[in-house]
Parts: sequence; C-alpha cells; structure tokens
Amino acid sequence: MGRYIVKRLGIGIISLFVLVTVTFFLTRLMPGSPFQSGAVSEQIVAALEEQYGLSEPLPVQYGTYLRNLLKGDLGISYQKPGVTVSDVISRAWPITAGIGLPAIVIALFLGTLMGIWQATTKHTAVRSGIFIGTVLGTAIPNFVIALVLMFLFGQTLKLFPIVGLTSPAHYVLPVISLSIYPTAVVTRMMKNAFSEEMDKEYVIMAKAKGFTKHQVTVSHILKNAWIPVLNYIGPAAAFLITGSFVIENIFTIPGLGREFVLSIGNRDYTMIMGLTIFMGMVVIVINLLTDLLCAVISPQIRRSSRI
Amino acid sequence: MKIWCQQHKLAAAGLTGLIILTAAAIIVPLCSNYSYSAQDVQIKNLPSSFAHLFGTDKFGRDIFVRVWYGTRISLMIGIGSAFINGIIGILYGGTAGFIGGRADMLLMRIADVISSIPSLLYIILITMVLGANVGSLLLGICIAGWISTARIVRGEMLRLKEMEYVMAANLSGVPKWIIFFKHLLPGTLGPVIVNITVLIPQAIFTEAFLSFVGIGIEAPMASLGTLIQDARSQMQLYPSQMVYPIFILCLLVVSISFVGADLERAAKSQRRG
Repeated sequence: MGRYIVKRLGIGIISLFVLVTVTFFLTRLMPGSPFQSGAVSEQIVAALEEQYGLSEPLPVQYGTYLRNLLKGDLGISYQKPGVTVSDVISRAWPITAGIGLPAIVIALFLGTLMGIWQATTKHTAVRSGIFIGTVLGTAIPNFVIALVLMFLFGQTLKLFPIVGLTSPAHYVLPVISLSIYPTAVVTRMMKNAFSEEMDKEYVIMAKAKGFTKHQVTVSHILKNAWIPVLNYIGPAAAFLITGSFVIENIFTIPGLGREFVLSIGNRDYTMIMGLTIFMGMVVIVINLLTDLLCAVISPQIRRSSRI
Repeated sequence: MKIWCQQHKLAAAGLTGLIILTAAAIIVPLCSNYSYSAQDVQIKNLPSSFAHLFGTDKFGRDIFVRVWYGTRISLMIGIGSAFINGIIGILYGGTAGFIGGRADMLLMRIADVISSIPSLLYIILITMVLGANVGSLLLGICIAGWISTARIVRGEMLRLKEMEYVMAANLSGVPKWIIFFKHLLPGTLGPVIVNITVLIPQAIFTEAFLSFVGIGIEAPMASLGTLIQDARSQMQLYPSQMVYPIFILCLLVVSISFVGADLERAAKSQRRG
C-alpha cells in the first residue's frame, strides 16, 4: 500500500512539473508582447520588458520562475499594475468553487439515485426515459443548456436572475447548467455498475441470509458499484473547471474561468501561467486524492500496483 | 436491412441525421449564392424568408450558409481528430500491450503523466501560439485524445495475447508482426469503435465551446460556436438567430451519440451472450 502511494505521488509531482514547464514555454512562444497594446513606442516596450525581466534569455527566465514558484510567488499581473496573481486567484477561486461544488454534489446524489432507479425498475418506460435522458445529457453541450435555460427561465418567464451572483437565487441557473453533464455520466455509470453487481453471487447470498432489500442495496451492492463513480470525481473536477469558463462567461460571474479567458485576451503572461498552474494543480491533486481513496477502499486496486 | 433498422432504432436514427447533416454541410456552401462573410448591412436581422432560409444576422450575413460552414468545421474537427487519435491510440496501446513487461509500464506511465494535465489548457495555449484555426485545434485535441483509446487497446491486447489461437500461430512460425497486425489488432477494434464514437462528440463540443468563448475559431470564420456567440447579443430582440446554430449543433452531436450509445449496447450484449 505504501508503494502505491509513493508511486502515485511521484506521478503527481512529475505531472505538475511537466505542466509548469509546458505552460511556461508555450506562453513565451506567444506572438506579441504584453506591453504592446495601445500606441507605445519601441523604446518604452523594450524598457518595460527589461524591468519585468522579459529580456533575459529563456532558460534564465525559466529558472527565476521556478524559484519564485517554490516560494509561493506567482508574480504580478502585467495588465493590472500592483495586483499579484495570487490576489486574483484567492479572490476568484471561492466563487468558482461556490458553483462547482454544488454541481458535483448534485451530480453524485442525483446521478446515483437515477442510476439505481434505472437499474432496478420494472417499468421499461422509466428505463428508456432515463436512458434517452442520459444520452441527451451527455451530448448537448453545457453552454447550449445554459443559454437555453437563461433564455427560458431568465428572460421569458423571468423566474431566476441571470447576471452575477449576489443572492441564492442567482446560483440556480449556473449550477443546473454545470451539473447536467456530470449527472448524466454518473447515472449511466451507476446503472451499468449496479446491473452488473445485482447479478453477482454475493447478492443472492445476502438475500438468502435474510437481509432486507434496503440493506442489501446499500451495504452490499452500493459499496462495490460506487468505485467507478469515485474514480470519475477526478475527471468531473476537470470538467467543472473548464465548464466554468463558459458558464461564468454566460452568466457574468467573476470567477476563475472568466479571469482566465480575460487574461488570454490581454496576453497577460503571468496571469495565464498562474491560473493555468493553479487549475492544473487542483485537478492533479483531486485525481491523486480520489486514486488514493480508491486504493484504500478496494484491495483489488492495491494489489494491481503493477499498473 | 429492415430488421437491422428495427433492432437498432437509435443507430438508424443517428445515422440518418448524420448523413443528412454531412450532405448539407458539403452541398449548401457550394450551391449557395451567399458567401459566409459577405456583409450587407441593409438586410440585417431579417427573420427567415425564402431568400434567407435562416434569416440574416446583425451584419447582414446569411445565417443558413454560415450554419453549414460551421457544420463543416465541426465535422472536420470531429472526424479528423477521431481518426488521428484512433490511429495513434491503437498503435501505442497495441504496442504497449503486445510487448508487455517494462516497456509497457514505461509507455503507460508516460500516458498517465500526459493525461493528468487537463487537456483544455494545452489546447488553449496552442491556439494562442499557433493561431486560432482548425489546424491548431486538431493538434491540441490530439495531444491527449489518443490516451483513452490506447488504454482500451492495451487492455484488450493483454487479454487476447493469452488466447490459444495466438499460441497456435506462434508455434507454427508466423512472424510476430503478422500476428500483431493480422490476428490481434482486429480483435481489439470492438471496444475501440465504441470509444471513438464518444471522442467525436467530445471534440465537436470542445471546438464549439472554445469558439463560443472566443479562443477557438475566430470571427468572421463561421463556426457553430461563433454563430451562437454572435447571436447572443441579439438574444432579446431576435432569439431565432441563436436557435438555428444551437439546433444544428445539438442535432449533430445527438446523432453521433445515438449511434455510439447503440453500438455500446450491442457490444455489451455481444460480450454477455
């Protein structure tokens, strides 16, 4: 078990390192300098670049960046003088999490319930209904859903507000738009896993022993069927972060996604790098944690540490 | 044929939709009188009419033609990336599974590191460096897109390697590479095809979403994403402008997903029976 943890941590750290390096070199390759917007003369641009350390050779810049990174200093925004990247991140990140977390909680709960329902119901209408629902849910892009919801409920029926995030009612539409895809995925996963487990021998054994249907479902089947869902939390987190780009754009929510898109438009190097590293790190850490959690729960994964 | 259609209602519906959409995407821009970028401010924001089947947008451009140009881009990216990812994935995963041992472990570890970084970040960075066009989107999507296919092929390869017909072929002196290409690889294709039918909608979705946010294909090129973004500013006054690209986008993605869902169901029942 210890070996597995070490191996997994190792991969995580290497991934972070690769992420930082790739992001660094790609941002430096971008055409244009961050100071070129507006009519600034060549000399001023050169002077500014010198001051920010952009005129040094690339490997030197890379080294400096890494050293600062280890100290926790992500640099200052080029476009907004005096604002550090870490400031922006710490301001925007709770907002994004505020939409992302409810979305994932809904996806896990609702998805599990619907998946079990679909697997155990005797009515084909329900089964087909949920099935078509999952296909549509996974196929229709979340920004389309967001726009449609915004149009229907925000504009025509005027039920929910659509701009900003000041009251609980503001959360409804964005969270729904974000949660539909993961819910559909979890439902499908749950249904597949549940159907497979239902036919296994230990279930028949448990029923024969006299456990109530409820006990059999929860303590026996669910524990095993839930593992793929747990595994999915990692990719789901990645999805929610990238989904936030668009949802925050549509509903004008000042979160990480919007900052990221804005900084790309502004060619704000340090901001882009800082945000990318932060988001990448969040995903890598969540993946690491869910992998470790799965290893703790399932001895099979622990044993298969060849992979 | 009829029986197949009855048994696979979803796939039949999906394929029909797909064929119609692809045909329209190819034919309409060729035959239309309007170019996708010709602006004529005098006829802006018209509703659907005989001359402009989907109406015109705020710059006076014909929406019908633009929608089909956009569908072309989506199809190119979707099918192109699925093709490239498929080939890379099959070869990479097949080799890893076939050779086994340490090479397998190394190859899979590399794949793990690449896949643990959210691919959207690469795609955005690449479009920034290489410019926002179909090529860079394809490159970005293909950097990490082959990994799921590779994993599946490797899994199947490891399973099939132990089968008796492989042992028989080996004993009778068939060279290893013939075993690989002729006997083993075709056996892995079942799950791979299902996987590819999921990759295509994902790629189309990624392109539309990036174009919508402004990072993918840029205006005035017509991508379904930019069309939706353009129409968004007119949403309150002329909601129909948004409806058409959204509808076609959904139709495209849902058709492919139907085909995929049906193949998945067929593959599963085949494995059980």
